[in-house]
Amino acid sequence: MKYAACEKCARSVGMVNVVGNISMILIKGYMGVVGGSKGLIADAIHSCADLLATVVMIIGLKISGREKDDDYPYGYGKAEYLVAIVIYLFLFVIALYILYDGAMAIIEGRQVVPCMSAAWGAIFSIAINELMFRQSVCAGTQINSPSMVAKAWESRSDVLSSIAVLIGIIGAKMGFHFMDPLAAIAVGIIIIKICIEMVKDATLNLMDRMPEEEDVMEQVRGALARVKDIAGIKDIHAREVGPSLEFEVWLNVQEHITVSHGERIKREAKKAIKKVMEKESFVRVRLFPVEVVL
Amino acid sequence: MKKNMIWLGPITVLAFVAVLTVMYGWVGSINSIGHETRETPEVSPANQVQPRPDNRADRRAGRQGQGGQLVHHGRFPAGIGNGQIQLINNPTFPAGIGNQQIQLINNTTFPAGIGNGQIQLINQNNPAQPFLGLNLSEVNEVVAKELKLPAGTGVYVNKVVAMSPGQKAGIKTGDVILKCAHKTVNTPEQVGQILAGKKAGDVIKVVVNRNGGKKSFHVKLENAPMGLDVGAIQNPTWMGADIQDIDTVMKIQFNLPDNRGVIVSHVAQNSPAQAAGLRTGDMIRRFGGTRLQDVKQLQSLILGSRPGQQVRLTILRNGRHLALDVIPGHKPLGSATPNIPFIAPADMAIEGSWIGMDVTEASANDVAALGLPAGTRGILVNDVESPPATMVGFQTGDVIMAVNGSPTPDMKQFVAASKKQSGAVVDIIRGNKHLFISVPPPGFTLQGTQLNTGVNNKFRQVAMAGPIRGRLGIFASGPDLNSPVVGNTTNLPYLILVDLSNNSYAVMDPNSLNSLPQVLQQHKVTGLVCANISGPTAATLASRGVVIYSGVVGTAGDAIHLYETNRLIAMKGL
Repeated sequence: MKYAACEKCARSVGMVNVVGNISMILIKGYMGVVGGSKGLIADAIHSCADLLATVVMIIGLKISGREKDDDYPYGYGKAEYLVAIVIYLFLFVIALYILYDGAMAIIEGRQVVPCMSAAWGAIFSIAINELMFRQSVCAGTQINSPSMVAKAWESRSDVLSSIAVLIGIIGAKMGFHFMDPLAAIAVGIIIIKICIEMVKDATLNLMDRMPEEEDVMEQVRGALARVKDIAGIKDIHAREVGPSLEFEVWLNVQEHITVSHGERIKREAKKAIKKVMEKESFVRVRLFPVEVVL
Repeated sequence: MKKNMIWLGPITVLAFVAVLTVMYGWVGSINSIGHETRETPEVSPANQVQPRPDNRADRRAGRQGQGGQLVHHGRFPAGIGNGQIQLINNPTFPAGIGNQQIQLINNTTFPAGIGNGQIQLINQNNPAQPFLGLNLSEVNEVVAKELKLPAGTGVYVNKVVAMSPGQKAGIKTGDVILKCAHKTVNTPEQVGQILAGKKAGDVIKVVVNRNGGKKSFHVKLENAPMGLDVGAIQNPTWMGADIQDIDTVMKIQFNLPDNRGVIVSHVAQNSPAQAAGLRTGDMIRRFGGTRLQDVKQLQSLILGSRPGQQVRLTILRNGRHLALDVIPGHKPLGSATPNIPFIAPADMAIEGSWIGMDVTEASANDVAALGLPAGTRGILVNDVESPPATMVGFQTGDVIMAVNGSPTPDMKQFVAASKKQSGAVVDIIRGNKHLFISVPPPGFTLQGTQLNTGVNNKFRQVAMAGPIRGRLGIFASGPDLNSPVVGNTTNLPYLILVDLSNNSYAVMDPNSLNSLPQVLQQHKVTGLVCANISGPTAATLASRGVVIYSGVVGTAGDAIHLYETNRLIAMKGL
């Protein structure tokens, strides 16, 4: 970390994103409607999609935070994925409508004549998104969080879509009336891409897919290697539940050890795994006695 | 409690998405936002109190009778000759609307930039707009009370046109339209605006209040038949200045630095523009903060502005920038075009001809016949015969008020003002409108580009030093080969002496032609080219051996070319 303030800055990234996106939705929606630009309204919907991603994440945190109860002994972690699927399917339909209406506007030759206030909306959006991108990249690099950097690049893609919208508006002002609906179609495609990715992610997580990051397994194996008295790793299962990871680990231990020794091995293994994991982790360890021939 | 609050987040955002989506579909269907007028029509208190549902129809009919401008025209006949575009079914214009004037501006389908780009500030319905076939007005108090409607809601149906979509759907006189295409309507203009976004064949839902109960109808729209007045947007914002795009000739004559702006050709009496101090010849550069490029832009800006709202115009007058504050208003209803019959036959008049048209001093009879204010003095165009007059857009019935800013109340001053042939901006009255018509300098187009002078390039002008051995003499309106050929009856033509043997020509000043036969003999002229010639002169010249080629149309250069290729026919029987 370069400066003391970096920590604080990194913590504010999420809030800045939410506030920035909300203000952009309002401004782009208003400017788009008043300025008569299809592209800018589509871009506002795009910002809604970004905001929804954050909102779904927050909901996930809240719901997963609920204690396990008798009815749901495994907790509420997967509710987040259901919410995400519903929301993004809805957005998907909206995006299809954007594509359809934009295409019809071009085919029918409807005159979409945005005024310059729409262009200002697009310029504003470009500026805000770029600033948010720079903050996230900087903070993510400083606190060494790849996920924050990855999220930052989403802001960058918002900048590109706003630039497309700006080009569309300026083109329409120059007399190419098809340019603005064309920009709207481009934004619609971006929204569809987001929707497909999000729905795919959520579905895969519902299906208890192993975490995609390869190094998670490596890290777990590395951590377990340092624990004493483990004869070998039989199997590791992992799945993402909401914001946390759940591991099930089968360890080979020597068959002659005492139960209390075994329990100690379990505790140490759990501790070791939780230590290397960035995310909150739940670990279940099972021991499997084997005859070790040394 | 806290648990439930969580869901408000995504639901709010999703609701916003839904609203935006509706807006998204909405944006494309609003055509040309800038061209719609937004003011509500004025309704005098008397009309509001009196239960006379047909007051609007009466007033409209009255205006048509006076030759009002708001005459709707469903389609326009194609192919009106001479490049004229006549879009208004207006009987008051004496000779159609020539000069490629565009009268109907609120018509987005019309190609821009035609000819002189003259535009009158008239708002008009889109000719291809579909119609309901209903004569509508605002709901007056009596009807509102009877139907227990809140004041100011709904639109009253005065009349249902027979065989119209409205009648077919079942709408009746006395219904109050509450909603049209799912939008609440409170004024006839709102209905008009909804219709403007539709096309023939679309089906819209109309909700009406009939005798206190709600009924809904599905109306399939059709195109309005010709000559029928659909709910037009009435009484647009009015400034009272005639404006034109600036062409190169105007730029030179008015000494303008560029043509970024529009020029004022006339300011109407008692208009907001006059009150603000706008004058003929002013160049308007900015309207409010907007830089003006052309008439069309200013027109839509004026229509988009609200009457009574002060607007600052930046103008250029005599090379200085001035700021004028003008308050646009409504066009007074009484000031509609006076009825103008066709031109009375010419009586005793002093005739002349200029750039291919015959002109006379406008007599008192002519002035009265044209419906101009008594005492108007100018030069009346009797007949437009040949280029360049036909090209630049003069018409029979035009009254020339000034040439290059010099007033032309009589023929003498007209001749003095028009003799300078290096381009002219002519101020004319046509109908009741002032126009500028630009006459390009000889050999130039209106855009200021030089015409290809072709065969004339080989001729060089020589000075009139001593007798020139000319074989051919040409009467021309100007001192060069690009000037049109004129006749000796024209006031003071130039005589161009052409020596074909060494490709040279000399120009004789009109004042030195007092004795034409002697001049021709002195320069050994054997042929004389002219547009027309009086009988005695022709006989005198023929008796001295001069061959006369009369009736020649075109430039002097063309005439030489024709002469060289033996295509001129000599006058016979003298």
